[in-house]
Amino acid sequence: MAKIKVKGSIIKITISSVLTAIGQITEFSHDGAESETYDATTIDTSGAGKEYSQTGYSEGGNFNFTMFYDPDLATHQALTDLITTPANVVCDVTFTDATPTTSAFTAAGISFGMTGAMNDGLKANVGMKITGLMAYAT
Amino acid sequence: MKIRLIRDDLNAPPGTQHDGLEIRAGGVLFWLRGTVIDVEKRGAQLLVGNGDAEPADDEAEAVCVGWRDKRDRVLLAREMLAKGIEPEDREAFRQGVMVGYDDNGDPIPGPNAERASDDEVSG
Repeated sequence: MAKIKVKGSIIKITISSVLTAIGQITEFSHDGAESETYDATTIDTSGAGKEYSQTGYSEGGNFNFTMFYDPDLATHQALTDLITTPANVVCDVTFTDATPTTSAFTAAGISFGMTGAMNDGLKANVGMKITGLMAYAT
Repeated sequence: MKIRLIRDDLNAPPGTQHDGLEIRAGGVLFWLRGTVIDVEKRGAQLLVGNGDAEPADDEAEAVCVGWRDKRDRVLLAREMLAKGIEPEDREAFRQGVMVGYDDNGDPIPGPNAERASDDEVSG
């Protein structure tokens, strides 16, 4: 059992079959992954509780991150290339655990936005729609 | 066109098949340093521009205009990225005062650490 520090985590993007680190990321998140269910409640369900069952499908969710945006940086250009030329791209995140664990996922779509503020550096927010599932450690 | 991979920390998407791959911890496929791969124009420009590769044929050399001039700066930036050097420590890294961080996050002294320390005392 260990508490894994975030500093040193690496998020990579595939460029021509090579996964290379995306620089200047300040935070990341993965959300929306869930095993899909349907409402299985019937009029003769006993008790007040509604019932749910599995459809057999799971949502892969999204992978999001914020970074200091440098338009000259090759990996940042690789991200915006996916806006101008949509394509599936394999990415992965490597954690700082002892193994270390690398979880790969395929992004089918990407969102990209940037923010500029007087009291901060130029930042970009990136969202990736995962197709299939992230490869979680087992 | 062909490029040569020049780092040890570049992995490959699961299922990739190539002679220049090895399996490391967690079953992750990594490219062996020195492996030459075929890429398209944009891939060559991005990987060479990011300090991950260098052109390995004339065609790649032609599309990576000026890469030799930028090489030292690009490789240094790539190394700082790989080692997670904080922005406030980058100048110290460039000067060889520190080479990275230990497990506690403290700077690991570099070859010029002693000289920098002496300068501080005398300055």
